[in-house]
Amino acid sequence: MNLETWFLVIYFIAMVGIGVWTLKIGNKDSEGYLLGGRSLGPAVTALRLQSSSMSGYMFLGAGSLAYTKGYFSLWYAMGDIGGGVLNLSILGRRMRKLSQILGSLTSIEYLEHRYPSPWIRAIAAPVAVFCIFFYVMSQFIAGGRGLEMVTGIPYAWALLIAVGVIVFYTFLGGYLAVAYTDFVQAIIMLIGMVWILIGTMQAVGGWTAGNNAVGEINPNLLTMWGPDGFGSVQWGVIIGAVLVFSIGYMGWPHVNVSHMAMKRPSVARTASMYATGFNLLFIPAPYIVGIMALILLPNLDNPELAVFQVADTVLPNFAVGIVMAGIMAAIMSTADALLLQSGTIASQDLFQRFIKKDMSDSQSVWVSRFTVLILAIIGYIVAVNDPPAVAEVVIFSTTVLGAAFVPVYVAAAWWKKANVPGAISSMVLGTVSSVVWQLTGLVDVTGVDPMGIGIVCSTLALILVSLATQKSHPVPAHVVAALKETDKIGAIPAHMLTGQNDALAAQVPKDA
Amino acid sequence: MFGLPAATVAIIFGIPAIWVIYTLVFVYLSRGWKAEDVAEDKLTAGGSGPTTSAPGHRSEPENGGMA
Amino acid sequence: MREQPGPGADRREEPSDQTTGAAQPAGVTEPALRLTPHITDAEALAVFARKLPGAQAEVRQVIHPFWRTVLSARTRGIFGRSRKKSLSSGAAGAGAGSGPGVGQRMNVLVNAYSGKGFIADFEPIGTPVDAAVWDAALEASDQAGPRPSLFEVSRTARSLVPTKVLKTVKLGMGITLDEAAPPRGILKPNWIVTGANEKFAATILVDGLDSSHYIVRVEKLEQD
Repeated sequence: MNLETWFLVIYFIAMVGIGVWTLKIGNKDSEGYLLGGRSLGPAVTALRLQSSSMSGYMFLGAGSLAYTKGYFSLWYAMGDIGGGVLNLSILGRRMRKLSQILGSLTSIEYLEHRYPSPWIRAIAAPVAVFCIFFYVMSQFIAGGRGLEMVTGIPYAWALLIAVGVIVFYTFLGGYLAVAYTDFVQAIIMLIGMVWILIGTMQAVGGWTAGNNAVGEINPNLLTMWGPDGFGSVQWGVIIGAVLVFSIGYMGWPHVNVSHMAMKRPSVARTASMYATGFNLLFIPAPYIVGIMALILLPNLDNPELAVFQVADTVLPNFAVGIVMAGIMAAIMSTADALLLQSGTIASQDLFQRFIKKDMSDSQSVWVSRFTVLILAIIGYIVAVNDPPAVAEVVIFSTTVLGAAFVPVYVAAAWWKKANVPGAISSMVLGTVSSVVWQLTGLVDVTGVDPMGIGIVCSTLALILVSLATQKSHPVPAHVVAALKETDKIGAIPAHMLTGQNDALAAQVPKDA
Repeated sequence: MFGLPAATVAIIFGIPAIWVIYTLVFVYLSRGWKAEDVAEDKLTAGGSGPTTSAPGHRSEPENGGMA
Repeated sequence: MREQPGPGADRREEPSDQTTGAAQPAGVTEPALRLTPHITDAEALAVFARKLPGAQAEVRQVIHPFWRTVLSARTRGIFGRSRKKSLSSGAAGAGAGSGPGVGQRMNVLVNAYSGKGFIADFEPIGTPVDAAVWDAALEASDQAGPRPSLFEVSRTARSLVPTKVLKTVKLGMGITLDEAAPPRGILKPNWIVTGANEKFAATILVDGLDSSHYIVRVEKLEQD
């Protein structure tokens, strides 16, 4: 095994060791304690979050887009930088309050509580699982490719190992899910990414010199209009690129559920500041590295490996191993969170809701496990034969989720007239339009991105259908009351609001 | 500047600047959020009353870039 | 009763094979337990005074209907080893300490209106009252909420308990829940405090068990 692989192995053993040790010392509440953010504060909270948001996309997808399209790829980064703060500012507090009043435990259940109808769950759950599956698969591919590059093991085997480790982590990951590992991972990746960026800049002789050299290859790569120049620009695609990771992000169920869990909005708010700050530095980094890779590694047959190969070139051996390990860990934790989410959706929102209502708890866990295994197997089969590009898959799944869910989540908290038929048609049209647009290749013909089309269709559907069916399907009284309660928050003086227990909203008697 | 065309520089510095401004505006407008923090002693959940539940998922508030 | 069917109604209308639990959002048939408040009326007034300094206020007690179930939770690792899993401090505060592997007993209260569940880290103590009192409390509540059926109450409780127990473990650990007692009606006392000082007039709901508060309405009085 080469040196890098040794470091990879050592890193993993160390992480497992930390996890087991922490378990043994009986730190049972460590996750709860640290999630509360009391001793860590917003800066560290934001740092921990970075490790889960940096995943295979950043290291493979972004680099490959940059390598093939030059500065055009930065449009994706432009949206991504603001995604977090946008999400929090629009959904965060209202969703939290509304979900408290409605008593929802999951974000899909929240949708059904807000738009009472079993159809909502019947549509939302499969769409969510479908998109999560694709995103997870992208992480598999990233893990497999990464392992293949570092260790030299053939892709099919590397993929198998990556999938195996991810599934194993999902089953036993709880033992490892201590804040320490998240924090350490975040530091390693941040240091790694900065180191790669600095190393790259040194290797090309500075940013300006690097840009000049890239310009020699093809001056259009320096523009934001794509390698074929301004004449080929498709504004619809550019708009879609910006929207995907800014707005599309609000459609991810496992992201939105965090609003519901937010015990300390003030920490979330401050963390969003730190997060934007970090994002400014770290989101563009892999794109820049990918662009510079055009000079350092002009003949890459797989652009997805641009960032990795550059790292291999500019970093000392031991650093490559550690950084790779940090990346693999990030991939694992992202994939694991998503797999768990899909398992829960399958068992709670689908199986238990529609098929077997009196499902016992152990059955519920088994459905989750089974779902995870099935998704892993299918994911492996698809990924091993003809793996699609990581970037494509991530963008596709975020697009569909965004088109399907963003309007209904936003309207849930902000628009009292959004009703069940509106929500149903919004989700259906959003999903169908974005998927069809993508699969039939209409992007090239019309110059409009599936994200743009999807969002427009689903938003229009929500508005038009809700207004048209206000009389026949009015929003239920208790939902309207809950929305009114949610609105109230602005009007109450802060000093009175301090420490208010929102759950009491559901205990107010009629004659109060 | 930096060997890049003016349009590129304008965009890759301009749009992030917009986000920074947005974040600052948001932070200013949401300065009352502290009022909604669950009170310190509720977090220990050792009080004498019913404890509010947490949703049953490992929920990590993702404020950073998603992908 | 309600003109708009909520999610509870939809579930009832689906062809369902549920045999357990009432098909209606149930009233109780046995005496319900009316909890003794942990917070006195004086303390509720004090909470109000902190929010509205120098205010004149009146306080009265109200009761809200909840369902109470008792669940006991046992965990086992995926490889069959039984774990002495201590629960997080919330439930452990009841003094049960480290789970002996036999089962951690947890009282779960579910709001009869909204269906939202809470784990109570105290043993409910109170006086038994007639079922009619519980039914009346249900009528008196503000919102035409989904009013879960008994079946849904059990289900909420069962999904709530694992979140406490399984906080750090995911699919690798199995959990067995036993319902030690079926859902029974219970009445939670709260205080409604209404008053005003020169600046504001407000009505505040104070939780009768843990003194947390909720602002029902507030009105600014001073002209400026």
